[in-house]
Amino acid sequence: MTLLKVKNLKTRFSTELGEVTAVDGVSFHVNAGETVGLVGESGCGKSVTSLSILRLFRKHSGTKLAGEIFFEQKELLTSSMEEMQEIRGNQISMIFQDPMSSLNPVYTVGNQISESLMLHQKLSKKEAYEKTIEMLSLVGIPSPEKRVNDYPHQLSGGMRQRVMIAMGLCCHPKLLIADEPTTALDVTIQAQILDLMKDLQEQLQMGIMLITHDLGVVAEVCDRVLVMYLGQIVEEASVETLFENPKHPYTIGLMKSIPTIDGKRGEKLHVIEGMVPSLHQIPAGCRFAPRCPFADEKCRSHPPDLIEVSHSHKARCWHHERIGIGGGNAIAIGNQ
Amino acid sequence: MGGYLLKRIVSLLPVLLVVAIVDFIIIHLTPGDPASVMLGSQATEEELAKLREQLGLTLPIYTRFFQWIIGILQGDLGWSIFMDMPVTEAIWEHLGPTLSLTILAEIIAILFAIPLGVMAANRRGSWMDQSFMTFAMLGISLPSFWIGLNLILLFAVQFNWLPAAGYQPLSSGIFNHLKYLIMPAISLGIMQGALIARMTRSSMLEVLNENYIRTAEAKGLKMWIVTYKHALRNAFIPILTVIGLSFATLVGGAVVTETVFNIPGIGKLIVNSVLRRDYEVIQGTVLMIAAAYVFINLIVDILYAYIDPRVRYDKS
Ligand SMILES: Nc1ncnc2c1ncn2[C@@H]1O[C@H](COP(=O)(O)OP(=O)(O)O)[C@@H](O)[C@H]1O
Ligand code: SF4
Ligand SMILES: [Mg+2]
Repeated sequence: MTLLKVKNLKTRFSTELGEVTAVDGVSFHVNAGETVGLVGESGCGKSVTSLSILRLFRKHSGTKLAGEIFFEQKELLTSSMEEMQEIRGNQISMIFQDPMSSLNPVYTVGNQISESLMLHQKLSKKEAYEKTIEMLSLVGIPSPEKRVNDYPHQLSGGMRQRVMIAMGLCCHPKLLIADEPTTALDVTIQAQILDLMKDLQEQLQMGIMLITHDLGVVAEVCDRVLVMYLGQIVEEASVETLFENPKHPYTIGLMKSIPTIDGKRGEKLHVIEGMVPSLHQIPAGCRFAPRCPFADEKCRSHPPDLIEVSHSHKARCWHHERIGIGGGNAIAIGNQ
Repeated sequence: MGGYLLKRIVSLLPVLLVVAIVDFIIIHLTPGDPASVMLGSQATEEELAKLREQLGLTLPIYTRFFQWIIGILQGDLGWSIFMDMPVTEAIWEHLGPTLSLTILAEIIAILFAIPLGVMAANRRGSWMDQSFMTFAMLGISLPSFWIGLNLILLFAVQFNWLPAAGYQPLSSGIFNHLKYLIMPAISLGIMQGALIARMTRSSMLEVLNENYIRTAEAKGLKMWIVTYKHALRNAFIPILTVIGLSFATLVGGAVVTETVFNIPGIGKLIVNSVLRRDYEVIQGTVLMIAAAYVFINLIVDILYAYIDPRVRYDKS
């Protein structure tokens, strides 16, 4: 069952240097019970995509959203503010990137979690408080009946991220959008939190959209993957297909950045050359051309479309037939 | 919390001592002989000497300072030669009108300033925000006596609704009390309100960009809960600072406004005492104002700790 369907989403910001399109024609879907990964380097538009789904931009920021976003039967971009408030935190929850700044410093974590429960589940203050303790214990916070009265600054980064997860899950959402939920954490806690999300997913049949720049995490937990570059999806495939047979040079570049088993996690072995260009200077042809080892004249002048390269495997590259990994050591081959 | 409070209070004592020393030195180094001012130019040298003796002006300065300090510790601020009463009593008599005026002005200022500042921040860049900013700028630049005079012209002279000047204590009935105070309070409140409103707006603008505001919105909370529960409390520390400062300024005597409306407050007491060279009154009043500043600051510090748990825990 399709839970979320995004069609041709465009998100524009007005900046001092003019308007920029941070998300440019993104389409994808998330099924119930499925985990979809959204990967790409920092600045590719992953967070903006997720914020667009819940329309979490300030009213007077001049942000423009276009396209269609269906959550079950409901189109979100044309919904009223009241309808959005009914969905936010209730049917669709978000866990934000930065647990240090995403909790309100002047309220206890208990207050901040039970607030959602009282709003959406219509629990009394006391019931909400008890449920909050239960949620804190569920996400693995030791002595939750004490921690519930702590302020965010009294907790470590890992604990705060668990609080964010408890907050995101407390109303049993149908869809959880988790924006780099483990980036700030060390490896053991990272694994614990991912396990926890998977467990809860099985219990609740929840769809998860997992945003990360770490393909290692994707390989562990995702069913399907979207690779994003400079506001566009450049490749989409099931996890198996993507790792066995990547068709976009950018995806391969990201894979080469995954540390090997004996290398330490988080230690980048290879980084794609160059930087993500500014949104003010989007290349005319293929957006990846300035950094792509296979770029030719056509690439530089004509933007490729996202096309189906095999069954439910899409890529946005003129030369996808000639691109793949060889020798099992994740090196791109291109017989130019 | 207890530790935090104790630390704040202890740190205030040296401040008060320094203020007392500076206060004393300034008053005593001011040229002019109180005795000759009081007795007038007809006085003989003998009469002058006798009065100086009486006033203790012949004693060495450090002796006088210690006498003064010891007096203060016993609750004695000195004697008003001109009014022929203890300084504490003179201050007490003038404190009522000033406190009433200050509190009323501050209530008016806060009541308008905070909701307007919040609204402007929420609608940043809109016509409402822009006209608000213009009015706030105007409120800060217009002198309060000018506003006061215009209010008098309009409501006292033109319509005859309110008394033009004067003061009636609270004991004469709250309605009567307010009737005299409302115009001076408005003319003072506009300026203070404009300052508070501008601080509210800029502080809210900063807080509204914080990630935890987005978290609150992502929970599906209503706009007014996000604004007043999640944003305003975080934005309140700088707002509170401005309120504390404005309160302290007003307690120090709104000299001009008290003069325009002929209110017998602290401001008038200071002006009159300076004109009369009533040194002990000036000295005592200045010390009292400094103590009020310090006390208001202490209250502000306590409120900081109440509003923000990080203040409460970090510094204990
Ligand atoms: N409010 C905004 N105004 C202007 N540009 C923005 C805004 N938010 C994000 N961007 C830009 O959009 C691009 C995508 O950002 P983001 O989605 O945060 O990337 P990431 O993939 O790292 O999550 C970046 O270039 C960023 O600078
Ligand atoms: S289209 Fe050309 S430049 Fe773009 S990714 Fe493919 S090979 Fe590289
Ligand atoms: Mg991001």
